[in-house]
Amino acid sequence: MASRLSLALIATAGMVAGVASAEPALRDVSAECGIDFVHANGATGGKNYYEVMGSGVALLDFDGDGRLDVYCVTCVGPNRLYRNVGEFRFEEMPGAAGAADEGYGMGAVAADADGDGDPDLYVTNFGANALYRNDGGARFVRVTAGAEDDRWGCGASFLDYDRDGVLDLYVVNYVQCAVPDTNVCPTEDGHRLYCGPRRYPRAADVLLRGLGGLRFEDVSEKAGVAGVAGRGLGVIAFDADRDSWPDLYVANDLDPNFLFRNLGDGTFEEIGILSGVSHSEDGMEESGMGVAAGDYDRDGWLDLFVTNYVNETNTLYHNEGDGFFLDVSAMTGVGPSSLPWISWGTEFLDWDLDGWPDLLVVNGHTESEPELVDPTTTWKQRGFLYRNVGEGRFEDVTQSAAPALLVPQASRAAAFGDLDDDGDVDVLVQAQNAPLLVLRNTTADANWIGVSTRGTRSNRDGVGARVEVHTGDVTLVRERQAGGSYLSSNDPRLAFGLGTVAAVDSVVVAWPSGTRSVLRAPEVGRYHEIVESED
Amino acid sequence: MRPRDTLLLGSLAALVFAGCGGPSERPVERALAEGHESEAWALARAAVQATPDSAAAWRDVAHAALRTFRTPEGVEAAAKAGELAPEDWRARLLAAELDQRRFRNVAALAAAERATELAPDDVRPWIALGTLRFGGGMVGTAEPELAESAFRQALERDPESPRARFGLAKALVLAGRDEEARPLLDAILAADRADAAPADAWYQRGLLRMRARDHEGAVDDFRRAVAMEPGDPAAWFNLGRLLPRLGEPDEAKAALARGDAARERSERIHSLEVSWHSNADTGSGLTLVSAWRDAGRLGEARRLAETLVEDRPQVPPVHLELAETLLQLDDPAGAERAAQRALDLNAQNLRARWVIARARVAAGDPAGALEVLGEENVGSEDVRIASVVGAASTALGRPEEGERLLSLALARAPERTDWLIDRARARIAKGAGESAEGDLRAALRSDPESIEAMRLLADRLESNARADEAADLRRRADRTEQEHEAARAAREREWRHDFLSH
Repeated sequence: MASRLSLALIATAGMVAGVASAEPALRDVSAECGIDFVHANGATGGKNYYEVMGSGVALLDFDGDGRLDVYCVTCVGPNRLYRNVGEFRFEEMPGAAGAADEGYGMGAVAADADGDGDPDLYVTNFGANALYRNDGGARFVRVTAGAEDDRWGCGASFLDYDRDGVLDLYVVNYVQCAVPDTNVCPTEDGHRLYCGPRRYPRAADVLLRGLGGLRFEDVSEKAGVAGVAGRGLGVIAFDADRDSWPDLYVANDLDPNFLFRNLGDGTFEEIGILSGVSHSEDGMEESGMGVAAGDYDRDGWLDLFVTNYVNETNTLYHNEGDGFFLDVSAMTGVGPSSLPWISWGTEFLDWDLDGWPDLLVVNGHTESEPELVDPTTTWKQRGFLYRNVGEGRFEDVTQSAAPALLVPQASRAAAFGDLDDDGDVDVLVQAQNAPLLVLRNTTADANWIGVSTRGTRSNRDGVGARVEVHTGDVTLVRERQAGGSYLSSNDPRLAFGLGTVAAVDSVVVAWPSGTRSVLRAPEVGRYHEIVESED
Repeated sequence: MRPRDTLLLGSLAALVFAGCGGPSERPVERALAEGHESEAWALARAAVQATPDSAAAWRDVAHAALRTFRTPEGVEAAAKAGELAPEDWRARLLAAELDQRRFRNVAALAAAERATELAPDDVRPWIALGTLRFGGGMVGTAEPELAESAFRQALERDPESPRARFGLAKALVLAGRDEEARPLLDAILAADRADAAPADAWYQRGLLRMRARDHEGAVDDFRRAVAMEPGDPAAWFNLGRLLPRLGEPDEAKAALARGDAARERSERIHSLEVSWHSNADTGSGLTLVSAWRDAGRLGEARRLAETLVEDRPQVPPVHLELAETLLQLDDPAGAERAAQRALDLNAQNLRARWVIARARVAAGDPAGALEVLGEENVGSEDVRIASVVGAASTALGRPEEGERLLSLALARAPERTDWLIDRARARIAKGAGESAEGDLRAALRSDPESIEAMRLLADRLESNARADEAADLRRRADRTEQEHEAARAAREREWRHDFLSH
C-alpha cells in the first residue's frame, strides 16, 4: 500500500555527550537539571494502606515544542509539571499549566485523547480520577468526561480496543480502603504494620470507550472485562497474538494476573492462566506491580515483564508465538537476582543502543521499617539495570552503568524517555518522600533511529501501531504504547538502538486501522515522524 | 514432684543415658528412628527432669518436641541445650528447624550457619543451610546462589548424599542453570529406587523440560509429581497449562481445578501451621489435624492428634480428631477406642457416637453401629447420622432403607465420594445396577483417584459384559493404588525427616 510519509525531523542529535568508557552510561543529574520535585506520601504513622503505593511520572510534549516534558504526581500536594527548555534543563510550569491536580495522586498517562494534536493527561488518584484536556496553548483544563472514578485508581492505559480511531482507556482499580484506614496489623511485639492487600476487598477495573470529543462510556460489562476482579496495580495494552487487535495485560497484587484477549468484536476473553501469564512458574499468585511489554529476544513477538514482591521473582514471560507464554525468569537471570527485593517501575529499554532491549527495575519496601520484622531487609532498596547480552540472558550492570541506582531509595515509579533527543533513553525514578531521581543517558558511539507516529485514519497518536525496523536479517519491533511501567507513561516516540549498524533498510508501521507505512532507507541518528496514509 | 515420680524419672534417665556411644544407642534417638515418638517424648522429659543440667538431655527434649509438634517446648529446650553446651552443633540444628517451623527465618539461618561453623566436616549442617536458603516462603531468605554453595559444601563431605544432590539440582533449577541441573535430576530419577525420589524431583525436572519446550516430557514428569504428591499446587498448575498444548483441554481444566483446590488448602494449612507452631493453642491444633488429614498428610495428622491427646486428654475433640484420622488410616479399632474416650468424657457427644458407628461399619459390625447411635438418633435427619445408618442398613440387608438415607445425605452434599459409593452399594444390593453405575461415575468425577469407586465400577461393568472397559478400570485402580502407596511411604519418610537425619 502506498503511504504518504512525512519525514519531519523532530530533533537532530547533536547533543550526544561523548563520554569516556569508564563513565557510567546513566548519570545522576537530578541536582543540576532544574527539577526540584519531591514526592510526599503524607504518612504520619497511621499506617493507612494507601500511603504504600507511591506515585508516577508522565512524559509528554505538552507544549508541542518537540521536547519531552515531565509531569510528576504526588500523593500530598499539587502535581507538578516541568517544561523541557533544552540542554537537559527544565523549568517548572506555574500551577502545572492547569494540571496541578491535588488528589491523593497515584498515576498519570498522556495521550492525544481528543485527537486535536496535543497530548491530554489522565491522572489516577486514591479518590476521583481527573482528565485534563490540553487546549493547545500549553494549558490544561480539567474536564468532565465520564472517566472520573472515585475508587482507588492506579495504572491506566490508553488504547484503541475497537480500532475506531478514537482512544479508549483502561483504568486499573486496586482495593477498597477507607479514609482513614481502620485496619490494624500489629506484629507480635506490638509494632504496627501496613496490612497486606488480602485484608482489603478488590475493586473492579474499568474499560472506558472513547466516544470522541473527550467523552467516554463505561463498557466494562459489555466488553467482558468486568467478570473478573483483581487487586490491580499495573496495566499495559499490547498485541499479544499479533492479530492487530490490542490486548490488555493487568498486573494484580496477590491475585492472578489477567491477559484480556481482544476478540475483535468489542469483547475480551480472559486467558491469563491458559496462556501462562497469570502466575509464577510455580503456579503462585504473585504481587504484580509494574509491567512492560517488549521483544527482548527479537523474534517479533512482544514478551512481558512483571515486577513483584520480595521472595517472588520478577517474572519474564516469553511469548512463544502460539498463544502461550513461558516463564523464563530463571533462565534469563532476571528472576533469581530479584528475589530479595520489592520491585515496581520497569521497562524494556535499550539503554546501550546495541539493538537488544535491556531491563531496568526500581525497588523499595512497602513497609517504612521492615527491619522490625525482618532484619534482612530495608525500606530503601537498590535498583537494577540489566544488560541483554543476547542468547536469552541478562546481566546486572548497575555498578558500571547506573551506579546511582545502587543508592537505596523507597522507589516506586520509573518513566523512560529521551529527554535530550540524542536517541538514548533517559530515566526518571520516583521514590517515596524523595526528590525525583533524574538519570541522563550518555551512551555514545552507537547508532540509532527514532520514530514518532501520527495517525490519520487511526487514532491521532498512533497508539497501538506496530513499528518494525529492518536492518539486514534483524527486525526490531516496538509498539506505540500509552501507559505502562508502574503508574507511569513513557516517551511517546520509539527509539531503536542499532549498535554498529549504520544503515536501516526500512521502517514499517502497521497502523491500528490496518494500513501500513513503509519508510525505505531512512537516515539514522534522528527521529522520523511517520504519518499514516489517509488513502 | 512426688518421690515416686522422681524414682521413676531417675530410672528412665538411667535408661536414656545407658550407652551413649552412637546415635542409635541413645534411647530417645532410637525411639525416634523407629517412629515411636510418644515414647521418645516421655523418655526425654523424664531424663531432663532427672538431669536438668545435661545439655544432651535438653537436646533430646528438643528433638522429641520437634517430632511431636511441640514447637514452643522444643524452642525452649534447644535454647537451654545451647546455653549448657555452646559448642553443641546438633542443638543449633534443632533450633534452626524449630525456628523454621515458626517462620523465624533469620534466626533459623543464624542457627544453621553457626552449626556449619561448629561442625564444618559434617554434611548435615550444610544440607540444613542449603534448605533454608531456598526460602520456603519465608521473606528475605531465598538465595539460590547461597543454597547452591551450601549444597556443594555438603557434597564435598558426602558425595553420595541424595539430599545434597537433589538440593544442588534444585538450587541450579532455581538459578536458571538448566544445563547443569538436568544431568543431576536425570541421575536421581533414573536410580534403581526412582520411587524413593521426592515428588519435587519429578516436578523440578518437569520444569526443566517445560523450559526446554519438551511439553510431553514435562507433562509426564508433572503427572508423576502429582501422583506422588497430590497436594502440590505448582505441579497441578503446570500440568493444567501444558495439557492444552497436547490437545487435552478437559484434563487441563480438571488439573487447574485440582491446583486451585490444592493452593487454597496449602495456604490454609500454612496459616494454621504458623498459628500452631507459634502459639500451640488447641483450636488451631485441632483444625490443623483436620486440614492435614484432608490433604492426605495422615502421618502428621495422626502424630499431632496423639500429641493433643497426650497433652490435653480432658478435651473431647482431640480424641475425636485422632479417631477420624485413625479411620482414614484403616484402623477402625483404634478409631473406636479414641472416640470412646471422647464419649467417656461426655456421654451426650453425638459426634463421638457417629465416629464409633462409622468405625463399626468399617469393621463389619453394622448392628453395633446402629446400637451405639441409639434408637433416638437412628431416625435423625442429621445427614452425618443418616449416611452411616444408611451404610449400616445396607450391610444388614436393608438396601432400600440404605438408599433412602444416603440419598437424604447426598441431597446436602452431592459430591461426597464416600456417600456416593455407599449408595452405589445399596443400589447394587437392591438390583438397581444402572443407577449404582451413575453413583460410581459421579464418585469418580468428584475424586478421580477413588480406588474403591474404580473397583466397584469395574465389577459392575464386568457383569454387564463390558470386560475391556472393566479391565482398563482395574488396571487404573491397581496403578493408582501403587502410586498412593508410594506417595504414602514418601510422605511418611518425609515428615519424619529432620535436619539431624541423614
